[in-house]
Amino acid sequence: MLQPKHYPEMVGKALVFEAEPFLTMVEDDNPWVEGLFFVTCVGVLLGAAHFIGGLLWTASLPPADAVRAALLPGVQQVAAQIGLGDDPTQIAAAFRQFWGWGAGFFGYPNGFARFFFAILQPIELVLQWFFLTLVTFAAARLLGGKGTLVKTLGTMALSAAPYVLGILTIIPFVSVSSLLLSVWSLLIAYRAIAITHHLSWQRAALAVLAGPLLLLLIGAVIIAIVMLILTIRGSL
Amino acid sequence: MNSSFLHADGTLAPQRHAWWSDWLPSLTQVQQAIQLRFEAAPAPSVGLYNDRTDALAITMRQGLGLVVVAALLAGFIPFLVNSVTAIGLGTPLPLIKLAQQTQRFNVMPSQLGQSLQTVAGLAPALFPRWLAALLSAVGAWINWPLNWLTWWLVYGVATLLATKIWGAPPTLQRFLAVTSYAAAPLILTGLGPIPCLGFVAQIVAVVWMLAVYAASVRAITRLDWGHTIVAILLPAAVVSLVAFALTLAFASTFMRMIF
Repeated sequence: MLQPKHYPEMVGKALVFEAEPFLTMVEDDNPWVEGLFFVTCVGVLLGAAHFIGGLLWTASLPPADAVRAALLPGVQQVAAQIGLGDDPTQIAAAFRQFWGWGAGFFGYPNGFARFFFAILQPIELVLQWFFLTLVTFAAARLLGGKGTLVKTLGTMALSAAPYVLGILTIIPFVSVSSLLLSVWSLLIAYRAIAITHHLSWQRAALAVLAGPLLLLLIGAVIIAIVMLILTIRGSL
Repeated sequence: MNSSFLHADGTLAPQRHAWWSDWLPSLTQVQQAIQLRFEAAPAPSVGLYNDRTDALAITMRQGLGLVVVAALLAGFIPFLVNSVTAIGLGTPLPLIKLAQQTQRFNVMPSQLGQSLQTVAGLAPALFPRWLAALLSAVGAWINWPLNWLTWWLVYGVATLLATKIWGAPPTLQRFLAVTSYAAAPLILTGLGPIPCLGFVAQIVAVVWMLAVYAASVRAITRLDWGHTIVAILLPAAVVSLVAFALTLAFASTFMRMIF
């Protein structure tokens, strides 16, 4: 079993695609447990950083109620101009409700939503790791890969390494691009599959893209169905 | 060469590298790269330090460090300007920018514009005004390396895939390592807040960055100039085409729904 004190070094080496951390995972006596613990640690750190950073963000911005009150006259004018309604009381009530949902979702007025998302973060990361590994493993085996599922779970856990950058969100107003995180994560997953399954770069890349492509396909089908329904409704 | 590199008998002693040398290329390597000199430098007499003088002998770890340090340097003057402005006004940076844009473009209805300006003037919920302002300026500064890393990694991978069409040999690590030099000229973009000079510096920085990027791609892939430039432009062209097609598709769907 690896000691968590080695994790920073593993993260650093995985981020620059060095083979050593992947080989360490492959040779570990229990790679999937190691992977699960690693991903959970990253998730907990990330959740804690989001939580603290979010509280500091709220403390740096004006109070949510004061912002809502300041925005209300402008919103009422816009609503009247675009024909959403002339009754200022109705618009104020609707805006108050909308503001409550929106600000509450982002945890602007209080920390409750933030606490919820902080707890959700490790769970989300673990689920993402597990399902992405299953799909990638199946694709890699179909493409002639030789690695086992247990070893793939271990090496694919390192694809959570870029999420460590999320710790920077402890500083208010810092935002880590999800494009950066997802692309970097996919590149580490590509390296993990190439090493674990001894695949050529083309096959490893195809195997790694299987998961996101499947998600894209599902998303595209859902969007197409929604658009079809909207178009049919519009034509009726 | 420094005399501390010599043993008492006059032979060369192994060079002691600083702790950061694993994370940054040497100044000589960066100088060579920004002068577009990517061919291997002539080896010193003994050949001990060849890796620290050849621009192509850079690791991805050093490339990553170079991008982060260059972005932090570039963001330093804007950080100072942002800090002074934000602390002076006692408001976090995003709110100042929102109010400035409302004023500059004047596209919003007058009342909404005024509302946004009122929001910008409100006191923070908990922190003193100066602390909220300073934190927002620090946050904006930290975003510089994060944004540069995104460009370097995402566009780098796309360019590498394009070069693979012509069978370019480099691995992902080598390619990203060598193309990281393109971040060095971009330090000039940090002069942006200086009136007149800033604009010129930004144009020079972008042109220089493109030249270093093209030269580094050519050196690492060994493609000819034509293929190199096509490979660099291809990802941008594909993204533009896909974005255009998607916009057209969405626009036509909404038009059909409306009419």
